[in-house]
Amino acid sequence: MRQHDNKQEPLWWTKNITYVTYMVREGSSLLIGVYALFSILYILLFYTPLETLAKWAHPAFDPLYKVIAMIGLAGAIIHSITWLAVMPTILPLKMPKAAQYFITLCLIGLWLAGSYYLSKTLYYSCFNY
Amino acid sequence: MSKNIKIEIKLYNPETEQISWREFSVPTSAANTILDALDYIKNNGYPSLAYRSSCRMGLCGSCAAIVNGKHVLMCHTFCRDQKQPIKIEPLKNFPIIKDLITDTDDVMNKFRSVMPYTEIQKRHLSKIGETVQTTKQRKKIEQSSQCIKCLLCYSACPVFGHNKEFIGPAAATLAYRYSADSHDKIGSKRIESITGDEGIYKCTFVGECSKVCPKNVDPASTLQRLKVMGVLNSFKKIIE
Repeated sequence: MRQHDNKQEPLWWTKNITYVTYMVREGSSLLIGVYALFSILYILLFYTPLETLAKWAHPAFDPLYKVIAMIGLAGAIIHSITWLAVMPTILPLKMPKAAQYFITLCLIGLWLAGSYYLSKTLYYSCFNY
Repeated sequence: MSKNIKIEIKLYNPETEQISWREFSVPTSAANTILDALDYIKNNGYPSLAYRSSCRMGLCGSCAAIVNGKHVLMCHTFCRDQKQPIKIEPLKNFPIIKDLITDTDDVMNKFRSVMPYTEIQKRHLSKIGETVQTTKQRKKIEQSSQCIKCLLCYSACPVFGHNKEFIGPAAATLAYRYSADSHDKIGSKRIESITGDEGIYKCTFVGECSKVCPKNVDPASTLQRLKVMGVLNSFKKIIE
């Protein structure tokens, strides 16, 4: 007599919406990773002693960098929103769904305001846009 | 007034090692739960059906199963609320012994490993030997004390499904319940027992454990709090 090994199915994450959201959240970090790696490569190229290579590498002139930046941005947006959406579920309070959505919306609002402030003070001032 | 409903149960025969689905027709009324339906099947033509149950009032956690894809306590789930045919499966991520009965020994050992008891500090003892705890102190552990160890959270946890060594939601909740208890003096020893390689840091915050918990214990939140306690404990150890 043997026990049945009740293994996790390969497509377990398709079984409910929480699992799908989780996989999207984790997958979106890969997009941010691609952007981060590409940025590091560009910074290295930008500071290369070879002048022509440095010019070519300048992100503002390279459309490929813009595409990668867009991919990174999409990843960051998906990752942030899916994280913020899961936050109300860990509050030690029993709340109706409407209250949970409201908290998520407030968190998204705070995140947007924070992002705007950071981009205004750090990014634009650094690059003199 | 009784109405016939169709129930499909995932059965496992340990002698033939075969998994099969079998359909049953059960007369039920509006007041009948899934557990009542299983009792009817067992007492009327299929006596070998194996499942666990005890209190029948959502306190013992024995009758946890998956009904129509949802993690539930069968004694708390009414047949009238389910789409037909009602599909009943055993808990996921545990070896199946027979039909709806799973082998939970591994998780029970995990519960033991987190030292689920308090060693009372002497300063908490009153003159007549009572332990003193304020309402505020009690409130801190109230939610985590509600866990009935039904193991629905383990069944819903994909991290545990992937890695059976992971300490898991309920054991972590138990560890939190005793670590946050104002009486406790085990403290950092317990935290260290759950912060190892297969400990709380393996949790990737899927959040499904809290969604399926029938007692609103919220293990996902507890795990995040334990992570903070684990980090603070590491700093404390460095300072010492």
